[in-house]
Amino acid sequence: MSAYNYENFDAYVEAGEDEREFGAFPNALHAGERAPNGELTQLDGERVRLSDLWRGRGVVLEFGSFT
Amino acid sequence: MYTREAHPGENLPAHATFEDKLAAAARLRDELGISRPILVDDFEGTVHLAYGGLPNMSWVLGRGGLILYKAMWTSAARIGDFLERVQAQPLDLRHAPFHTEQLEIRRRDGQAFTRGLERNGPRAVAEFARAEELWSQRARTARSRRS
Repeated sequence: MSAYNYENFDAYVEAGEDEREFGAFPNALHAGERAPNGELTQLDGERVRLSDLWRGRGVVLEFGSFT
Repeated sequence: MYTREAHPGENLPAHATFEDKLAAAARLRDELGISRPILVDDFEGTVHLAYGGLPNMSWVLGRGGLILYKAMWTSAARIGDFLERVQAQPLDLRHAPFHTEQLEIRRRDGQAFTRGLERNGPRAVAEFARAEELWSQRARTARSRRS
């Protein structure tokens, strides 16, 4: 188990991690700047780089999980 | 992009391996009937953390990866409005970019969110209730510091 893949949401909040991450968001990566690139995996197992997606067109990127 | 599970529970614990994460993303697609392509971040959340690590952010990126819109939470209506404006923008020398920033209010817990907590299990529901108490305590502390 890593700190990133936390098991208990209340412990994540109690440790102040939510305040730290939500507090940092407005101060990093702004409109007009270049977005971070990175490699992701499609559900069929193929790898894709974000830069492959935004090469010829725009991209709407939503982050999420079941909750 | 599928990330860590924000509210792990009995039915869906925190991912233990990348294969777990990939399988959970496929279940998300099937259970919620998602037709958009789903991309899965690595086990350590490298790309998710590079964008700030928040649970339900949305970003609109122009050609070449230029950030056009960033939002702490996803609102389909706001993204729709934004995309309409972007598509209507003229690209000529009489027009120049301008930067805006806004702060808005959202409902903390919609019905879909509650269904997601229940789906993940009683522990996910109970831990969110406890987190709400912690947020109330924080708000009270902040108010008493101000007065």
